[in-house]
Amino acid sequence: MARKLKPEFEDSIVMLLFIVVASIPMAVPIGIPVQVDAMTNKLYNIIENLPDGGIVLYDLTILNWFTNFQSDIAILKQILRRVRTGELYLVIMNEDTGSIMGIDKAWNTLKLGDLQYGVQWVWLGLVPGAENAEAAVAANVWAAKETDHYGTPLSQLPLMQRFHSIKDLVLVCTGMNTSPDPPCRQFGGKGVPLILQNGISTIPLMMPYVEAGVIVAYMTPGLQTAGYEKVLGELGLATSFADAQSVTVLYALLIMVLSNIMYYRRRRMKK
Amino acid sequence: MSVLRRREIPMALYIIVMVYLILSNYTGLGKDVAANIRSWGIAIATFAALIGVISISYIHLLKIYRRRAGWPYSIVLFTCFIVYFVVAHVYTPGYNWIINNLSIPLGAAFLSGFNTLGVIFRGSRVRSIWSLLIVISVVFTALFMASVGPVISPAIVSVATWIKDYPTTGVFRAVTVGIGIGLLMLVVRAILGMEKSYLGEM
Amino acid sequence: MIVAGKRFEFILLMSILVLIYVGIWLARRGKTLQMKRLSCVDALEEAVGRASEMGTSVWYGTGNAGLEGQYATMNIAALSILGKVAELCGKYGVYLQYMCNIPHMLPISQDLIKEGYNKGGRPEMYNENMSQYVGGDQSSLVAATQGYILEKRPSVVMIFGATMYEMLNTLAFGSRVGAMMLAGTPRLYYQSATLLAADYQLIGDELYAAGAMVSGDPIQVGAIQGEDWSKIIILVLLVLFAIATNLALPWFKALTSW
Repeated sequence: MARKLKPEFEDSIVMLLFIVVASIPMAVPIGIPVQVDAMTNKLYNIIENLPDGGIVLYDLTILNWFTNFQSDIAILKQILRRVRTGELYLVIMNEDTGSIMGIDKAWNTLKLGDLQYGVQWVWLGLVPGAENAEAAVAANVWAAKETDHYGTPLSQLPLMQRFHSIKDLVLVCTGMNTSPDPPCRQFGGKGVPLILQNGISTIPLMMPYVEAGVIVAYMTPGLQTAGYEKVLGELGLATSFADAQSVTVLYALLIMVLSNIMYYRRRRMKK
Repeated sequence: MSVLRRREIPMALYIIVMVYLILSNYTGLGKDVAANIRSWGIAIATFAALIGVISISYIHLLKIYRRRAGWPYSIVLFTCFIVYFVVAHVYTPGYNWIINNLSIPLGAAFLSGFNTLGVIFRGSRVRSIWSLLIVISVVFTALFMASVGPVISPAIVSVATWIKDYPTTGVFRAVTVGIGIGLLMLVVRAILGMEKSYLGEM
Repeated sequence: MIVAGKRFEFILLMSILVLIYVGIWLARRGKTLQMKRLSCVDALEEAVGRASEMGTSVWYGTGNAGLEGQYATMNIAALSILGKVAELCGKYGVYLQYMCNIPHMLPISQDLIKEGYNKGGRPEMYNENMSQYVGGDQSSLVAATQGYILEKRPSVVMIFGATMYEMLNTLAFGSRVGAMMLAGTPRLYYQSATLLAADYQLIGDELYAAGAMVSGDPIQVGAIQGEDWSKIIILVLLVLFAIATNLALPWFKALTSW
């Protein structure tokens, strides 16, 4: 540690080691048991206990396939189980073009071919305008969007005859990876439960809303989704990444310790 | 024609619509009109996508014409744009292949956590008792987020849950209130006609 | 007239609006409270001076958002700071590079930078390439930022406004080249990155105060003043409601459901 490397070389070494460390579980599966936390169980129970015949609105706003979208897919899998038995009905909307790109991959994973489109589920497609789109759909979805993603007028879709505003829903789910304020403002506090799928680092942002009862449950990518997949009995990408996540977290903690050791050694050497 | 270019017209539209929506929310009157106003917002947002294409074309064409710094990359951008556009309309499986095998993995790699490691490496140096407390809470919270945490010790789950539920929630509740008041500041300035950002002015 | 259950909320909203208006009204008449010094604002001149000594440039960004919705106030404050930084760059003869990925930010930033160099006394230094539009989405902004920082190695990197994930990338690359970093955003999600990586930070609402301070605009200063008074009222209400909830006093529920 006598010779000091340039900062960019130090960073490059840290990143290279990260790639090596993250690849370890691929070569040597570790199989650390995945725990299921209370929030995951709560989310599962909320969806299982939704009243029969209810309509669920799922707002997909992010296509981050390897992380957030896996959480969306897991939640949609549970909802679609009940849709297939005729207990629930599903309406999906997107808020930005990014979530539309590659959504075919999601539909293939969810295997929607056996569902009756227009009766059991509807895809509204892109409803642009971010928070304004959420407000418009919550107030009057027929005014917000006249056709679905395929150009079919809503009047020709039997499911949409029962869905005019948020009051006709039994659950709203929003998938995102940023501040939870907009969906909490527009969908929350209107008497309909709100579930958020959001990034791990947004948990502190969501907690005030969880405590206030605006968000009834949340799902985060990574470990929580791996636990959720365990509860569902359908393992997916989140489970396969769980070991890598553990290993990389340990690595991050290790570099924190190392950086402090290096820093104090250099300070002592300067003195 | 000069009447349409006056700033007062968009300002009046902005203020009238804003005041109407606020009053409709609190009085419950005119909800249908309010819902229609919001759906007009969606129509305008759709045009924004078109304006984005026009803006990017104009700026990059100007860059190529005037040979500004980085102009060859503007040609690459146009080429990719045209290829994507044509493939999306002429050969959808090809477009899906580009998205699934190029765009999604590249996007995931780009916004991945490599740079977070650099920030952690440089930023987590303990220089005071407060930063030591923060680093300790980071250790507990990070292990809580990984499956290895509960395996190491169940105490990690308890401590991390306490950190999440109490100090963190309290702080973020306060900052959320601050942001809400910041939005109200925008409403006041807009209603008084002092807010000109939507006119493209400072 | 007001829907039941929203009357107290409406009165609170109107009170806050009145306080902010009174703050603006007083500021326009020159009656403002003194704002505390912000180390980040004081460090702006030091940072530009550093760039001047090292003969390198200053990089400035306002992130992946424009002047719409809740991001408007954040980016207005950031653009005020840009104007001040441009003036300092003009004064010290430093090249300022601004990058954005929102079209309507480009002409505003060009005007601000040009005016800044004029005020700083070096109008001849300004050129159009100082303000660059790098593409329509976040990835292009991140790519352009990283490319510029690695290639040109600016000695100062500043990122203020309604920033998103690009803040983390910018600060990480700034630290790779040993740049002095100043950052600030009211967005909760990115406070941690700001605090970890930046040398000088503006935390939360300090960005609005900094924007008001450097612009000297009485409307911005007055709005900050009114906002502070509103926060005091909310703080008092929070304490009262916390006491009332814990003592199960009936007037709390009656008030919030009135």
